[in-house]
Amino acid sequence: MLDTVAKLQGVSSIMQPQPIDRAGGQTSEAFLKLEGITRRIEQQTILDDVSLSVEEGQFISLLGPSGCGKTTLLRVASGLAPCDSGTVRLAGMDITGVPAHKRNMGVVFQNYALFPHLSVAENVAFGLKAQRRDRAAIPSIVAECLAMVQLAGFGDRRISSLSGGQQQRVAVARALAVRPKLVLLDEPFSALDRQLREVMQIELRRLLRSVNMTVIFVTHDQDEALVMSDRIAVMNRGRIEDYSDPASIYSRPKSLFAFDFVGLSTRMAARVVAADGDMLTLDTKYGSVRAKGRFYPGTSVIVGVRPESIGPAGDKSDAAGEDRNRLKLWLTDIVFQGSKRHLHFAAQESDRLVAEVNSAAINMFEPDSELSVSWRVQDTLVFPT
Amino acid sequence: MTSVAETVPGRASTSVHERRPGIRHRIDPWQLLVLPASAYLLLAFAAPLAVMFAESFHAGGGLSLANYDRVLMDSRGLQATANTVRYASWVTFGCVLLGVPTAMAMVRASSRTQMIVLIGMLLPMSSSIVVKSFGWMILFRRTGLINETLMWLGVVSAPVALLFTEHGLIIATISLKLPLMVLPVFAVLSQIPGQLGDAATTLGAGPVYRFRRVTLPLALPGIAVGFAIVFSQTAASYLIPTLLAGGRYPTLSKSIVESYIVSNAALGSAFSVVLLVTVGVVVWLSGRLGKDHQSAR
Ligand SMILES: Nc1ncnc2c1ncn2[C@@H]1O[C@H](COP(=O)(O)OP(=O)(O)OP(=O)(O)O)[C@@H](O)[C@H]1O
Ligand SMILES: [Mg+2]
Repeated sequence: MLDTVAKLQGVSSIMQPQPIDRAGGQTSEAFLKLEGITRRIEQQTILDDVSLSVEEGQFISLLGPSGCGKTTLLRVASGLAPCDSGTVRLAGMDITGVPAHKRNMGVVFQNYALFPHLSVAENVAFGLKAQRRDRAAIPSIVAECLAMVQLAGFGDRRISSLSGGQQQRVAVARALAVRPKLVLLDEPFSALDRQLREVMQIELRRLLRSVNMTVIFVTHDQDEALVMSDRIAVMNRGRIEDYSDPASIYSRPKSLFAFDFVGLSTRMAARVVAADGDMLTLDTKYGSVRAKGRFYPGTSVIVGVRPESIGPAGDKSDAAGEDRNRLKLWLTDIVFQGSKRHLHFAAQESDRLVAEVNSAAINMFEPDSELSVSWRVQDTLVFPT
Repeated sequence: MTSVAETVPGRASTSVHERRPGIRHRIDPWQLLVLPASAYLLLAFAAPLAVMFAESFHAGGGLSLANYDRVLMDSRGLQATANTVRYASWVTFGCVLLGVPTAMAMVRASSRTQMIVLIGMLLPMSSSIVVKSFGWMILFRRTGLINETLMWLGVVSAPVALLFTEHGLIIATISLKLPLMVLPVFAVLSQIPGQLGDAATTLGAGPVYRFRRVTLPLALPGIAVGFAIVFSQTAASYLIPTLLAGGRYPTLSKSIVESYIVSNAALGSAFSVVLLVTVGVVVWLSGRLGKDHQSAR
């Protein structure tokens, strides 16, 4: 019906957000709600009590290392894989037992999974035909979807004649053509080179925003997650360790794993020597630092600082009156990073000491020399070991 | 977006596998490796074939179509041709019907199960056709295991005729030729990425639609190969119809042998040519079927 209305009004049908039949009175519940999902394969726990809520129209990233269970979680959400316990709720309804072909979720697979025996247009039309949508409307929807991913005129091409980026866009068009309730993308850019990937990231996000699509996007690339997402769920060994907006994930990660996974950073082993309210004094191998947190004196912890928070002591960001930590470190390497440079300092054992400075300021530093650095106490993160 | 895809450096580079220029005009020494086999085929296959072809037009001391008249117009000759086509068609049909689902199930099984099934199919192929046909003869007897079981179950009240019947022959032959269908279909199906089925599912395709629109079209090249092998092997088989259908069931292969036994090489050659053409047409058609659907859109 929506099709006809849209056609009568001359409005692009794909641009209409899917109507949501929420169960009465449950307006506060998230659009997609995974609760306590556990999946085991041969005694191995692949997903361990995973819960995740996604609001309608939000773009969520699942970020985690290879093998942490991202694909498995997508498969459970889309119904392709069963779960041993837990529930999947969509728009207020429990769909845990609903078979995958009745869930109407658009999935873009890790390797696109385009049908090699069908043309580009037939690939995009596949879902419409399978769901017995109005046949007369199919050609116009297909043309519209191909235009949306900038592939107008490619309809008759064979899949094997397309480049990786073009195949990726066909996969997106195919998933969106059925106007799914939710789109799940499994590392759609992993096969693309960096330049194309960065363009596609922005294009895809704009496209999905414009149709107000709810999206779960899987990636193991932290930059990709930071660029694209409204919220990021950091996964590790079958669990979600942190779930927050990109800025918080970056500056206030909830776990050491999330801190380490999102960006190369300074981390040092430390011991709490004093706790005054929530102000801790910590001993590191390089000197004493202070941080906010709640730990008992004597506890072994890891101190983490983002590299761009650290600067040479005495430069203009080192304003007087700010509560700062200061350390004298031995500068070993200066690594070129484009507009920035990373300063690497001599570190012990599993510690890592990195600071980020503007390339413009580079002449101030000499490798194999001692350097005083400082950073704000409030930028100092403390994690249990 | 499109422009970027096309202008990214290094994307449109030339293929590594491209031929070096000029190589087509020289003879690649490696291609000489095909010579011994070609010579052998020429002597042992093409030459006798030509002799046979010429022989088939030989009758009454001159050139004539009399032999073909006997093969295609005579009632026994015609019956032999019809029997062969019908028998091979039913067997092929049965093998497709049983073999494709078997191959589909095998692809989903664990590699251990796949191994067991493959061995279970290949091992009997190494034993003699005669032994296997005798096995079926014992099973098909009026007092054989099949009739005993059917009567014990109360499905039939009197023994059904299986031995020396066409349907008995077809049932037995299917069991002997089934691996020739399962193997190529299995090989093709295991090349299809499992994610294609998943993709179809998430797009709203149920199991039947998925089979018709994804699995079947992608399996067709394998089915075509199995089709060609099973049909040709069945049409050309001599021992199985001789042992299981007896003398009152003429086939082309039996007619060939019978002609040569009575020293009528010309008639035997004509039967051979008809068999060759029949099988050739079916193989060619199945080749078209596999190719058409592969490049179909
Ligand atoms: N069918 C299966 N049988 C056995 N183990 C499996 C199966 N599927 C997944 N696993 C295991 O589950 C874990 C998570 O797999 P999953 O594919 O979800 O990882 P992922 O996070 O998507 O990794 P990647 O980034 O490499 O795609 C892995 O250790 C994998 O070996
Ligand atoms: Mg994966």
